[in-house]
Amino acid sequence: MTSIKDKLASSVRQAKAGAEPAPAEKDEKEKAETRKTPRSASATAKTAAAKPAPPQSLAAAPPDSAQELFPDRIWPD
Amino acid sequence: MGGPLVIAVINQKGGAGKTTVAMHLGAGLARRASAVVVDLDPQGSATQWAAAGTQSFPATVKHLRVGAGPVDLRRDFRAYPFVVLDCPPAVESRAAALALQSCDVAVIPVLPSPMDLWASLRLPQDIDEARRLNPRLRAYLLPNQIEARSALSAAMQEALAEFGLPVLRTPVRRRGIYKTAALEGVSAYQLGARGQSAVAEIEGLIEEILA
Ligand SMILES: Nc1ncnc2c1ncn2[C@@H]1O[C@H](COP(=O)(O)OP(=O)(O)O)[C@@H](O)[C@H]1O
Ligand SMILES: [Mg+2]
Repeated sequence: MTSIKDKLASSVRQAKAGAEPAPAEKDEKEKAETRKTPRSASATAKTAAAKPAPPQSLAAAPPDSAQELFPDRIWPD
Repeated sequence: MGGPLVIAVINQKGGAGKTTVAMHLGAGLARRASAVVVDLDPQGSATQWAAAGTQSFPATVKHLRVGAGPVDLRRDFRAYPFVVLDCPPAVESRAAALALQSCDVAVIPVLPSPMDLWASLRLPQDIDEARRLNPRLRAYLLPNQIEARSALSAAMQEALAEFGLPVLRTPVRRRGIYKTAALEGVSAYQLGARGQSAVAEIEGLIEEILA
């Protein structure tokens, strides 16, 4: 529970630091600290597993599959 | 500031719940005074929602295509005490910029999901920029699709603190009734006992916004 809380908050901090044009000194330090943290084995594995999927696979999919990808969407006719 | 109370429901992320929230704010506000939901999304989901089913939607729903010409939302909808703007999923769009410049209150629905949170991160900056032209703008984050027993839902509060914007105290839960309402072209207010819990949270939300 606590770890998900921390992970989510720090992921947002990290995304924010990456998006900001001129990060404050404190943020810079935080960012550096985050980078130094060794990646967990599972995180590395996830990245590796995600890599082989070619980015074109989505664009190449037939338009019909959009419905399957977003079953919740209300599609205009 | 005279004229209507204009509430923009905005977030560049698609699927955050803008239309669902806008339609329910419109339906709830319509019980207090006449209300219009202005559908600024070219996809027209709010308009389709109002047209679905056989019952009429409790608030007026108008589709507005924002072209290149001048638009004055406050003047155009001054007949309504409450104006809710359902924004397209693109903050760079002219419609969204117009909404932020014309509104009194911006409600930003955010989902308890990392990618949705990351994608919403530029909102505080957009709000800051809009405030230069629209200093009265109040902006709130609204946790949407919150689940009682989900760790991610519970983790939202801390993550949202990073946005530096106030968070509405009443979150919107993930409820099937919101989808049922869209299917039937109504709001939870028209669905009797089935809609009761949803109505309670929407009322809480409206009271916070009107306070
Ligand atoms: N609180 C909620 N509970 C259940 N489903 C929801 C809720 N909010 C949104 N949804 C569903 O999520 C999807 C996206 O919502 P929508 O309001 O269309 O978002 P947006 O307008 O931001 O794209 C829709 O299928 C909608 O029915
Ligand atoms: Mg929408």
